[in-house]
Amino acid sequence: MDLSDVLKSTLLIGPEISLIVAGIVLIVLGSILKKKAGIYVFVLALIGLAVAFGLNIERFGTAETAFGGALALDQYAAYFNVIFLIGALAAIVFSKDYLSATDEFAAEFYALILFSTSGMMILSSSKEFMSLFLGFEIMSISVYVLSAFNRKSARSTEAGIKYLILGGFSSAILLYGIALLYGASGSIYLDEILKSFELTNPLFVAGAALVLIGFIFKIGAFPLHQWVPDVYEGAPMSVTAFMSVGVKAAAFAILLRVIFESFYPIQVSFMPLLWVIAVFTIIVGNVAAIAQSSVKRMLAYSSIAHAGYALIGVVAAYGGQVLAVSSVIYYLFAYTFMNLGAFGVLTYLSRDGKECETFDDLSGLWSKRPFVALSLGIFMFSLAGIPPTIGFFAKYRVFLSAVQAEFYWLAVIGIVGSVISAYYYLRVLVYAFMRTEISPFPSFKVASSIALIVLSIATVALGIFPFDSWDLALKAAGTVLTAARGG
Amino acid sequence: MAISIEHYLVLSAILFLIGAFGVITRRNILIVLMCLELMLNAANLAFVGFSRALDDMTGHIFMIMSLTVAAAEVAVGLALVVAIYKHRETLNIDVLKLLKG
Repeated sequence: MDLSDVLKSTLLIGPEISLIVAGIVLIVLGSILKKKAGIYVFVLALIGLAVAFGLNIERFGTAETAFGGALALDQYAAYFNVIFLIGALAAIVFSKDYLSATDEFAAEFYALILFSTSGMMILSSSKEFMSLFLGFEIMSISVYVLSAFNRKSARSTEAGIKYLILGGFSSAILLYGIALLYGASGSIYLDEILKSFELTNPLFVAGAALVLIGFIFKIGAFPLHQWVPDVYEGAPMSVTAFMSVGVKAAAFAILLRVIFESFYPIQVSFMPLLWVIAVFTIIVGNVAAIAQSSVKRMLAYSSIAHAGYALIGVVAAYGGQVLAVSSVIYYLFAYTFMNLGAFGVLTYLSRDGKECETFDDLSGLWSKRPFVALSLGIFMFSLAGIPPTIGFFAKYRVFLSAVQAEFYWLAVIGIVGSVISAYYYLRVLVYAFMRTEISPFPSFKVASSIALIVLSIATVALGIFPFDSWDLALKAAGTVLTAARGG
Repeated sequence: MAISIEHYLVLSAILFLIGAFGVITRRNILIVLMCLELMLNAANLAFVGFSRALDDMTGHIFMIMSLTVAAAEVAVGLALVVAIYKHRETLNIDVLKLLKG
């Protein structure tokens, strides 16, 4: 690889570079302007995201590789990048009103969101373990800082250190797994590892298992889910919105890519284990969510349950079924809109440093803020999987793929789980629509209102007309499955 | 006796397990962070050992990269330790109990 290749590759990763450049400029600008930074850094962060979004659109329909095959800039990565960018955009818009206007660290906050997003984008397109590990850590370390961002709050710093210790533990396990795979195959490229995979070599099996444990942790699936409620509850609300969508989607993106481009030979033997993990994730998430008195913590447990529904699709895809893989991708796409919206409403209703956390904080929302209450209703219906929302179509696709792969029990458990989930989602609406106001609601916020309206329209419109976005998910799934089909 | 790849592997596995055991059992946040470093460095040792055995430079480069990551991670960790100490005047991990359902 000579210099011209490096230059060519650098031009190809425009979206990532625009985010990193915007982030660096934000930090410099923030330290110069200090408290006057307010609106400038907000606009600059939006410009960075818009440029990245525009450049990312060009990746649909092309399949380039950069840096000697280390990064695959294909449709699969492009589809996930759209999810990350929507998550980052919504998180920044919600944070604008949430961070108090005089917070002199707003620039660093936006910059960390952009850095984390760039890490996710590298992760979703990595075809080799070094860029995978670096993308994974760029994403994670930025999110550790973000979840402890409210450094004067004991809860926020506690969430940050818990996330850092447990996340660092899982990264170490991931790194050790990569070391074993490197030792066994002599390469860190996914396709080289696939070629030299031997089921009889314990190094391969142990390495693959350790790598998968690292991903399962980031997804927040059953045996490694205990960090999720604590971190989601302690982190600032807009950060919770960002990481519940972005980090989860990124972990699923790389999980699917590694399974189908590298670990394909042992996929069938891991499948029963994933089956058990998916079932317990759904049960644990839903049962624990019922008992919660805090809406934020309830949504944290419900995000565990949603990871379980997406894992149904991963299990159903064991033979490389394109419909099952695309159902997982589409589920994460749908989850982005509805979950960002649900956390967005809570961010909107947080006032003067006090977060909107208990059910009582939502009482009387319908009589005082009817449009916010209406959008909350749309998001809760969508999370519960009630038509005609995007959540219904996504759940239908995942359960259908389980039935097609003849995992009938998995589909039954998933459906029972979403029936249970309807109880606690609709409970939120009982408080919002049928109780009277207990504490006064904050004043009208322009940027967050626009974001809520757009997210509600998208949740309903994509539920009625899901076909275009579904076709793109199908194509994305086809890209990632080519290696599995050839091998 | 020549030192072979097996020796490096066994040593790195032992270091990794000591680190993992420390993260789980130790109660002081600083010691837990040190144990995390031990786990990451055990993986680095495995990388370098494999790199030598395979006569391939990739493992060395990966080791340098993961060292950088570990440094960034511990920098964030120490900053958080300072922030937590300001609130609670202790670094015992058992006092981190505000977040419970």
